Amino acid sequence: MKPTPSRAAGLGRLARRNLVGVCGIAVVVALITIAVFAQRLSPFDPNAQVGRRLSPPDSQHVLGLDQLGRDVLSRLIFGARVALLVSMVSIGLSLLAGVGLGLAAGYYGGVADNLIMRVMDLMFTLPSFVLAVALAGLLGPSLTNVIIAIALVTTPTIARITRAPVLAARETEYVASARAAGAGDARIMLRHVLPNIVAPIIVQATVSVADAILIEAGLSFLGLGVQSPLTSWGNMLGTGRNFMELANGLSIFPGAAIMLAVLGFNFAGDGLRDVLDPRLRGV
Amino acid sequence: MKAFLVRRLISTLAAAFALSMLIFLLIRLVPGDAVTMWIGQEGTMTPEVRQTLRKMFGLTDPLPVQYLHWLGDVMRGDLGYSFRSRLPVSLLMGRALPITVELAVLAMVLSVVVAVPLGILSAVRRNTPTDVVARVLGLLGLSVPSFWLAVLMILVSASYFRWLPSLFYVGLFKNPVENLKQMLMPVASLALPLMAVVMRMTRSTMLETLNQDYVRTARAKGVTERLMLWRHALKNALIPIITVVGIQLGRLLGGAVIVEQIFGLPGIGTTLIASIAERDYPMVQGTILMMGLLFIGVQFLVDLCYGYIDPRIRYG
Amino acid sequence: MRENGHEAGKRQGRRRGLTRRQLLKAAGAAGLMNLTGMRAASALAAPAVLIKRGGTLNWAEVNDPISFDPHNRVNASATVMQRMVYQCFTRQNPRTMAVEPALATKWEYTKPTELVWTLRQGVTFHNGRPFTAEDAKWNVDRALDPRTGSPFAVWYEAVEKTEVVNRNVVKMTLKRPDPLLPGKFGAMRVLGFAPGGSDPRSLASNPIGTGPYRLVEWAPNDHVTFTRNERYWERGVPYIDTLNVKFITQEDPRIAGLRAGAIDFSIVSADGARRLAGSPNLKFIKGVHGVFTVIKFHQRFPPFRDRRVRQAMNLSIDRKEIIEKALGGSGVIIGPIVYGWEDYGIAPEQLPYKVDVDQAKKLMAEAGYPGGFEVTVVSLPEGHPAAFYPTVATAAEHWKRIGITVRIQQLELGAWLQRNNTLDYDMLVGNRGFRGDPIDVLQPHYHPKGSDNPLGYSNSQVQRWIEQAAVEPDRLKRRDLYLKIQLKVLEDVPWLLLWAPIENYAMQRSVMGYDQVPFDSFKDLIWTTWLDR
Repeated sequence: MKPTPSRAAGLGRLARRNLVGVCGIAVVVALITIAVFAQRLSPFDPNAQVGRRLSPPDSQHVLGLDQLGRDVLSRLIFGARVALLVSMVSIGLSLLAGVGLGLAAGYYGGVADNLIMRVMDLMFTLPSFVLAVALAGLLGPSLTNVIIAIALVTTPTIARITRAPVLAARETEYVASARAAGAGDARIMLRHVLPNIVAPIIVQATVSVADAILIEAGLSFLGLGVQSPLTSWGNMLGTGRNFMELANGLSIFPGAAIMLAVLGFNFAGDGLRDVLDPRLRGV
Repeated sequence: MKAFLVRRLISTLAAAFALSMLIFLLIRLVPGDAVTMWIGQEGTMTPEVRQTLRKMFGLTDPLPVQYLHWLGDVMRGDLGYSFRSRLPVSLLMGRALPITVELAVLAMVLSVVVAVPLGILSAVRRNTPTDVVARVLGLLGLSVPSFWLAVLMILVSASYFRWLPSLFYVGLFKNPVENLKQMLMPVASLALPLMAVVMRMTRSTMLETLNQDYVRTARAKGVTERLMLWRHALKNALIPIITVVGIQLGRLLGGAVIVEQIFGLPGIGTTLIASIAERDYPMVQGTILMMGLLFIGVQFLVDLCYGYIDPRIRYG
Repeated sequence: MRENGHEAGKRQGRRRGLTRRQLLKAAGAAGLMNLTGMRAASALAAPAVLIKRGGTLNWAEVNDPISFDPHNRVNASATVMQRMVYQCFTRQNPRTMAVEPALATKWEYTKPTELVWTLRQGVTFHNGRPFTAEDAKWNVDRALDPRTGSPFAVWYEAVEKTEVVNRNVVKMTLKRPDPLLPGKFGAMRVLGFAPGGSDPRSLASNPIGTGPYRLVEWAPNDHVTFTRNERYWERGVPYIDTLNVKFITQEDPRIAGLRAGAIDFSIVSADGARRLAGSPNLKFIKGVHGVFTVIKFHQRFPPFRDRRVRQAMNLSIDRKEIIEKALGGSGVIIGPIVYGWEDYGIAPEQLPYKVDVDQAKKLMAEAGYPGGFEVTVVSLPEGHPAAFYPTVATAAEHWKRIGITVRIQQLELGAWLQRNNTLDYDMLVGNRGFRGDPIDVLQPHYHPKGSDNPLGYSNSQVQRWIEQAAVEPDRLKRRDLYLKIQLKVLEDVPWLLLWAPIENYAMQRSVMGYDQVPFDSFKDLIWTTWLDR
């Protein structure tokens, strides 16, 4: 353990850190609320053409209309739905796969470890976004394919993060004695190993959700992601930027939404990291 | 150490090839093959034409044979010919690769040059307003999508400054000034998010190092603050910084793919997207292989740097 | 009466069926409207005193041409670029689309199945080699050879063999009469003439032709540079010394370049033109482009087999609004033949389209679908420049009023092409390109044996008219047949004809002489464009 600085400074730091985390969690909760109650909150149907294309903001349409006459605010609200759905489902899937694989690799070691980590290394040979582009480009643009692509590129990281503490835990006395007492592998993993890895995984998951939102936005921006009638912020930005100077809002608002969402999860991740495991601070 | 590195190298090379095989298979299972793209809607798909084209593209051989042909060629340095343009893949990539590399390198350099001092400053003036501002900016920078930054930059420069750099891409060595002017905005949009990460990393490492015993000892001995900073702390901070650079390279290349599209730079990213859309199999395979090798190559260099800097790792 | 070709001057005198507007345009060809109204013999007139020669034009194109293989044009950009360096027997007048002599000065059908070309004398290739009948034969043979694998060779499939009669005369024997052949050579989709015996792989990146420009440098996906052909056979043209073509797929950089003066000439979207409207250094032209967008019906979806359903769908869409949403207003409503294509098309004001939702509902009820139905339409993705998605999305909103629910399936280009070419869809939004002669936008769709007739549309009268027109040598008689076909098709609604885009071009004020948007995507007017700098 490191020597702690003076108490006052320490508390001050904690408070400020937690402020960041609290802000983040507030944003996340707000986003989830918006996504869940999108139908109620949205003034218009996001795909309905309600007026003249490229209209500037007015009393009826607070953020203006896009190139097909659709209400921008409504589209932003429904965009939250897609962003959260895609990111959470894909990270959920990669947690399932990644934690499972990481546990197996770390706990059983040997051949299993080698095999699993080699396959994970395979995925690490390409930058994750490039791999996502290749996968989405080849599989075809759709909601399912985006979720699959993101899940695939995130699993290796989760597997790696899981494996290290598992390896460490395996060598501890708890596990040795539990084994000696004849406890089954599953029981050992659940009781002794899993609690150790929960903290880093939760933190990583939050950060990964932020990443997933960015990847989905990037894919949709390129036209390789989610398609209409589903609304995606990336899509809005990608098509909206063709109308610069005619309707600048179309280039500004969707990007701001993306940033806000990513920020929220990153802040929350930072705060969680601090609370759950001070040793992980600063990465 | 050499043995360790050689083993790592081999295993990652093998991984790159396995990846290319995966892409090879995937691209062939997708609807609308190269022949369909070639013919488009204006042409006519009489069976003879189709067959001729398929033969020309080598699509009539069984899949394993096709893969082995390609692999054999690659070993000899021949990446095949693009379906679309019938020009050699290596030639097309030779033109595109330097642009992406330049983009990535410049972004990296820019972000390190700006972020490291900022991180140090932030660490040294810990918990002051400077620090807080820097950290918030850091988190903001982490979250901003580089493609949105790029769009905003174009918006601002086009609307308010009525300026955009020349569009005829000039190589760095042909005309450095023009080239750098062109690269300014793309590099900036990639560098900003990266700066955030590097700054945070630098700050935290510096904080740790500053608290180490030997630093306190040196302080106690009376070595001047600055000297100690630059000599001891920085050197130890190097490792995590290099780590982060290595990791973030992936993000950088990924971001480069979109940013190239936005600015119309004919780099590897644009080439990849275009050839996937056109089902230009040799180009897709070649591009992915190249990107993989490039990425691995840098990771390998990063490992080398570790070994050099920290003897403890060499024998790990 | 057989169609003959003559030297440019006489041809113009025997111009038939051109509107006054087209006449005036042709006269204005060399920028001499003010001096002598009737000066122009062809679009490529001798230089006048006002014209400045020389200079470099920085021209932005959207796509890279991919290849300069003269027998295998891969995309529209290839056609445009290759026309700078290669030529063929005939060419199309860039203003009127009329067929004109190029490397052949005369052509004559000695029999309906025998076409004799007299070649121009004194023409040399870019490398100095003289152009002879042997070269012509080599090129035609290679283009039509199945081993070359050109998907467009089917255009000339009537040609059985080509023989060299003497140094300047080539004889083509046809399998069956095809009076439209000279026009097809003019459209030059399949072939340009390179020196006989050339290596095609080499031609793909180093073209050698007879055209007004020759290729100096090509960096694929970046730029291509052409310089004036000093040996060009046509006196006086081209005026500009160097063409610097930059390939920019995104519109933003093109707009920025135009504004900054880095780009002299480029196509822009309607919205792009609006963004640039305030720039003092730019001027704009616009015109109809011959590619038109349609929504296709397939017979495998039962409601479409009933003409009343199709008519109902036709009556409930507001084409003006579709054009507004999809193209920013920059388009025209079209019939089966786009208006402006010589004198074949029907003017938009005279097309029998109207919006009548009540009548549409009645028809739907009569046909047995009072509650409407659900259908899936295949389209390209939302951001695609072809504007299919906004077209069908707006139409879908209109169809809600008669109870039809449309699900839009967006496929990226490869998958969409697959479905389109194999006719695997219930409904599809697509487009139709420009051809050498209208028969090629009528036969494939309205003839029961047509290659693109997913509805299985079959009408004995229309079929007869099409078959007659295919072998009718008299252009005016063909035109009358085309009119009959169009009117009947507008009644039967085998598919929904929607719009043709109005293309916008932006250029610096110093670019003179390019005052008309070509119907096809050719940029041949560049040859008589000059720079006032």
